[in-house]
Amino acid sequence: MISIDDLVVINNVSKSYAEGDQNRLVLKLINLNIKNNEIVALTGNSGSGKSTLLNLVSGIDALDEGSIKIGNQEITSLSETERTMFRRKHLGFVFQFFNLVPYLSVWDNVLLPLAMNHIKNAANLERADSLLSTLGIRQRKFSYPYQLSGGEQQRVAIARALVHDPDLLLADEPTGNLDGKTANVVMDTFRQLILARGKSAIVVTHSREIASKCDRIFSIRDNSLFEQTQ
Amino acid sequence: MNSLLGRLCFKSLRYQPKLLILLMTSIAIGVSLIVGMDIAIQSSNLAFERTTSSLTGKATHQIIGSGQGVSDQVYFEIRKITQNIAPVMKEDVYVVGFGKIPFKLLGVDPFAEAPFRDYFDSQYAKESISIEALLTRKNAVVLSNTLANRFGVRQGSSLSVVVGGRPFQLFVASTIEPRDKINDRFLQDVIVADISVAKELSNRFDTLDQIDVLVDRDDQETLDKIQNVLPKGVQVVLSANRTRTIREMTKAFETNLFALSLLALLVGLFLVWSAMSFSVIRRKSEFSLLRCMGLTSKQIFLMIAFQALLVGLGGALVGVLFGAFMGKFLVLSVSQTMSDLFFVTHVRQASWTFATVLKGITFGVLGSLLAMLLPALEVARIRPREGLSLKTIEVTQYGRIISKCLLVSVFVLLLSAGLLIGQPKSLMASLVAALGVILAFSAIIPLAAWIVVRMLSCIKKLTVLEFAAWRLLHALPRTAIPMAALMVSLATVIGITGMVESFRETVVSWLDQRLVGDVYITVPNQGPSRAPAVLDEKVIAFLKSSSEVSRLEYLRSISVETNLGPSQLVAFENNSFKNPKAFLQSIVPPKEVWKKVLGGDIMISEPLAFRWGIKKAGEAIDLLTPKGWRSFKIAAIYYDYASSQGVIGMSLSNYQELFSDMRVNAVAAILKNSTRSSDISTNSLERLKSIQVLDIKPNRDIRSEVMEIFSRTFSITQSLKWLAVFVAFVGIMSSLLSQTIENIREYGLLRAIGFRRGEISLQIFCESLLMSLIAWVVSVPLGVMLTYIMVYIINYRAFGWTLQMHLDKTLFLHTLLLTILAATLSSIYPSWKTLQLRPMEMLKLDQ
Repeated sequence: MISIDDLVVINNVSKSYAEGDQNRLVLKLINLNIKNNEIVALTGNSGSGKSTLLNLVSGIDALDEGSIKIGNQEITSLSETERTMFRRKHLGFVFQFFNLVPYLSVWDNVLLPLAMNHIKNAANLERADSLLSTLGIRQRKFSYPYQLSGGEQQRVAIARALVHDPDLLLADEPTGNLDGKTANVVMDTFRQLILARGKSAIVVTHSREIASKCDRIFSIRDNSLFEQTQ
Repeated sequence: MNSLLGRLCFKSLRYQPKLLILLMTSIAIGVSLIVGMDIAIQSSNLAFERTTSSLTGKATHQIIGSGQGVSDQVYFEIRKITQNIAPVMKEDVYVVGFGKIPFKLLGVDPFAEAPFRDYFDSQYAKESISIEALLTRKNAVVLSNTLANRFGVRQGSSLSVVVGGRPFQLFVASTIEPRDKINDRFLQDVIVADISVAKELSNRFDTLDQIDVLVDRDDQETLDKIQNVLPKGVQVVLSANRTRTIREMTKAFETNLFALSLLALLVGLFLVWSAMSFSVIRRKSEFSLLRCMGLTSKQIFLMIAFQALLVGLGGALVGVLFGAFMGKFLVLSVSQTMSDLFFVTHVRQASWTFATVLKGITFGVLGSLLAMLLPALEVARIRPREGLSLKTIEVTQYGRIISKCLLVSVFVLLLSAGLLIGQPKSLMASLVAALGVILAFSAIIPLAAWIVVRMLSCIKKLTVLEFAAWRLLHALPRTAIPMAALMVSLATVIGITGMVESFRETVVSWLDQRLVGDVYITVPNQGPSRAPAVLDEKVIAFLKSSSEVSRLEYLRSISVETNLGPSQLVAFENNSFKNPKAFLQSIVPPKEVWKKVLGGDIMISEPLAFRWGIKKAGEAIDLLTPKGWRSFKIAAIYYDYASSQGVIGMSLSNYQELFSDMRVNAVAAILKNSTRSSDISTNSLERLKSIQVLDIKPNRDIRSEVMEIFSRTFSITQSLKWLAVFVAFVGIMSSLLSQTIENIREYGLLRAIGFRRGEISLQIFCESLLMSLIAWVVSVPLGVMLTYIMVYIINYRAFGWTLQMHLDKTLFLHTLLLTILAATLSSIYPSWKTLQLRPMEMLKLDQ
């Protein structure tokens, strides 16, 4: 039964990859509902299928069976281009290695999603500016990625992920490349910003500490998803 | 594309300045050659057209004779029909101290000239030209101010010249300031004189070279009347047709030069492709991120295409500027070759038009877009998140690459073969087929790399080399392209050198057959497009009476009209045609050809047969003789490398009877055995030169002169060959550098676990050496094939020459040494760059 406030509904999703002549099953009949304003952690061993699930939710990869719905949109029924356009408008990404465009300043990196969505208006620029203030990197606005520390780069990436007001944030090991203290600061800010804006997020992590900062924790083992109690 | 994404395009280019410079330089080199070559050809043609226009003026028709010109009587007869005619004499004039290229002496009637040539417009002439001086002073001439300044003379000065081997002093009666630039250009190579002065200087008193006619296009009645009074051997022709015929001669030469510049552009494009592929790999994470954020494949493709457009435009603009600069030098070489082979042309300035600029920019931009097509498609196919991990390990499916490339290679080879067979005469088709063969061989580079790596893996104790080999194989998408660029350059070196050597060998053996005399006597500096000056009768008489001379052979050369167009007719005696190898084909056994020629048949040279589409001996052609049109059977087609336009050969006795002309242009003297070692005595030389300014050359000097012209003709080709090598060398170096940067962590790791600096350098050198050696291995068969195509197909289709292929084996050794040198040089900078970094820095760099 789908609740009215379920933002993401993952229903009986399976995915396998071809490996030579054989198929390797990665995910089997996965079900998961994520509510509005909820942060969900995905944990599991390397190669368990965490990133695969993230790719399926974002529409980057196509599933073998099942369905995924985000808001009112059944993304599995969309074409490749439609999925791309959906991603552009409704999703935000944060990656382990920050992946900032090296030759764009902090400000230009943050504005990229606005430019892509053609929504670079005054209100959004103000929001971008306030995001940088909230993340404590406003004074680095015109710096370039190589001039920033790892923690600062990841905060820029978070600002970029939120600037176009997406419904869902997907974070793949967002603190995996940061030291413990910085990781905690970044994750706290990340959580704060998401909840303050009424958004949802899926965070893939190996870290128990980071996972514990999320509302619910799921683990992938033997191609299946299990909820863990905190 | 909105402004931020547009900025993304610009900034990403600016972010990689070295790559940007490499891309733009690669395009600029190719474009500069196209522009430079175009400027050189255009300038030479413009100079030719300028001279032709100044001589033709506004004449709609010309009345011309069969080699001997038109008699004065004809002029007076036509004058009764129309007043719009003007007599013309044209003679080559060598101005003392102004080189070996002659100027044109134009002999005109000042009172009949006004309707024909603007600079004799009556009102204008009154202001500028002293008609009185022109008519009354001995050897009076008129020069434009520009030409007078060039010669350093003024009105009233004298000018030393040589006409028909005889020295004269010309009197500068007037210098005129042409009223516009067009007229100024027209008069830059022309000295104007009264018709009587021109007749005296050329020693032809009763004839005119031509009569210019101005008739309305619709006035067929006047033309018919003119036609009716013309004697046999004289005809009316359209002025435009004659100019066009001469222009068409140079088409093949121009096409070959254009093809060579395209080859340089092709090598440049290989580099663009290589650099772009590298750039794509480096920016994989960036494109992947953009795909994650919602940029579509199409938008990514358009971004790359936009960058290609910017790079192409930038490179093309730089190339145009370089080309304009290069054109100034190339024009000298091209105009010299044109003067040697086709028509005399004075080029003093490189002229370029908007069309030249447009051509350069179009080729640059289109080339850049083409070279970036595959990398752009590769980028567009990048899946979101594909490149976002710490280091994307490229697992190259080289097996698939090899098989795909092999398929492409076979397909392109078949297509090229089909083109050669399907278009048996087209020069363009053979050039395109040659390009196809080059591409087909480029596509087998991955297979060659795989074979070499396999062979190396069989040899034990080659750890470093083997390691380098496997890395090379796994990086095939990046390494194959610079290898192909170097391979094409090396094959070009082999192909062009092979072609030039084959040409040289063929010409040397042809000279052995044809140069039967010990000493050759002619009037100096005979150009390619005109009937040469005649020898004074006293010269002949002296030679006949000389005790040093055993026998004389005479040669007469004139321009004739035929039913297939104008041509050069050469009348000679038989000695040089005794060798059966002299003939390509004949209607009788070679030894009996001369009998047929003596009986009234003619021979034609191979280039003429090719140009006129005469497939076999036995066909007939019509010649306009003083006795009217006569049909002649072609007894044989003979090899001849003296002219790319071809000549008609006739026996001297037949010529003298038909044309009632006993004059000769050249004499070959066969000396008595006792005098052979010293050629001809100084006394005799001095005596001969006191009669007429002569070129007296022993057999060996003629050979060296021919070989000098030969070297000049191929000087541009040789320069382009080395330029292609340079471009490819830069390509290998940039590829190595990019690979080094790509693998910097790996080198860091090797250093961290104990590899010494020298071992890292050795590793880089081994990769460079392997890339170069693979390129060389493939370049050898391609080079041989290119030589074959150039010798047997392109040269024949361009000039109608059959050459004998000659490939010196040491050439392969030379290119191998060149390869090793390129490998060594191109590995220096990447090695140095790597050695500047400490292991820990190298390990961190990629993060």
